[in-house]
Amino acid sequence: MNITHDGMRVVEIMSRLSIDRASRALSKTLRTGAMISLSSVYIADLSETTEKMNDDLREMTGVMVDFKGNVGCKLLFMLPVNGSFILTDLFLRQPAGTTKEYNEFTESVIQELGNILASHVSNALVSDFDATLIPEPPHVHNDYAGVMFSNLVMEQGMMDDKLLLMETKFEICKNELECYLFLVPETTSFMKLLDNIGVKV
Amino acid sequence: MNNTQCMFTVGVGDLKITQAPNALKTLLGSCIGIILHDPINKIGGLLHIMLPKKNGTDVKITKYANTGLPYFIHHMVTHAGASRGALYAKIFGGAKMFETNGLLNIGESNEREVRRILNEEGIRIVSAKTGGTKGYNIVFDIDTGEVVCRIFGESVMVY
Repeated sequence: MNITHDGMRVVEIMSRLSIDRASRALSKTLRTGAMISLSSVYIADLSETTEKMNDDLREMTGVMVDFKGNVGCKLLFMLPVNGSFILTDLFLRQPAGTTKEYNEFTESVIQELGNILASHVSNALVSDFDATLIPEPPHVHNDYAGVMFSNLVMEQGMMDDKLLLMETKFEICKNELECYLFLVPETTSFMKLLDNIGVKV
Repeated sequence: MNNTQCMFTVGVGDLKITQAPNALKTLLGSCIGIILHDPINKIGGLLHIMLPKKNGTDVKITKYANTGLPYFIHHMVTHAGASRGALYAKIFGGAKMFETNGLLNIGESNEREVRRILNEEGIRIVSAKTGGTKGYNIVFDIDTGEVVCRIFGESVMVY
C-alpha cells in the first residue's frame, strides 16, 4: 500500500471531520458530553498490529458496522463489558448503577450507538466528499478485545498485508470510560475518493 | 509452566517457531491456529492462518493454509531442527464470528483445508477444539506440549 504524505494528511482531515460529527451526535443522544477525537491515522502491518492487540485479553462488548458503496469501510466501536452498563444507564436516562448485568437492553443500546456513530461517519463522507456509503445493520458481539480487532481487519487483510487504520480516543462526560472506535477503509476505494477530490496518492 | 520462559505472541497471518522453555500464544476468531510440536527435540511452532487458499498476489504466504502450512512444516524440519517423524499437530479456532464479515463460514473452510493438508503430509492431529461463535485464547507450552485454551465466557481447558 503506497500513499503519499499529502494523501495521508487528507485522509486524516476526512477522518477528523467524520469523527467530529459522530461525536456531536453521540453527545446529543446521550445528553451528556461525549468527545471522540482522532488519535492517529496510520498504515499498519497486519501481523504486527494484531500481535499487539492479541495481548489484550480484556472482555469487551463491541459493535461492528460494514459500509457498502463506492467507499467500502468497516467501523468497530468497543468498550469493556462493564462500561456498557454505564452507557446503557446514560442512554436510557436511568440513575447511574441501575444496569448491573449484560442483558437485552445493553445489547440494544450498544447496537443503537453503533448505528448512530456509523450514520454520522457516513453522512460526513457522503456530504463533504461525495462518497456513496451505505451502513449495513450493526452487529453486537462480546469477546476478547484482540479477537474483535482481528475480525475488523480480516477482510482488508485478505487483500493486503498493510492496513489503513484510524484510531480514536473517546471520553464520555466525567465517566472514565475507555472506548475504542476504529475505522478501516478499503484502501482501493479510499484512493478513489482521494482521486475524486483531486489528491494524488 | 516454569518461570524462565519467554512468551511470544503470534499475530494474524503470522508464524513463530521456538524451543523449550518458551511458550507461544495467540487469539483466534475465525482464523485457525495450528500447533506443530516435536516432543523429543522440544521444538514447537504456531501458525495463525486467516484463509484456506491463496488467491491474490500478496506476499505473506503464512496467511493461507495451502501455502503457510507446507512452509511451516518445511521450516520446522529444515531450519528449526525438528524431527519430521516426531511431529504432531493440534488445531484451534475456526469460530463463526460477526455475521457482517460476509465471509460465509470461513472458519469451517479453514479447518477443512488444514485437516486435508495435515492428512496429506502424514501429520496426525492429536487434539482439536474448533467451531463455536466466540474467540479462543491459546497458550502453547513448548516444554510439555500442553495447550491451555480459554474460549470467551467458558472455563479454561488443557489440550
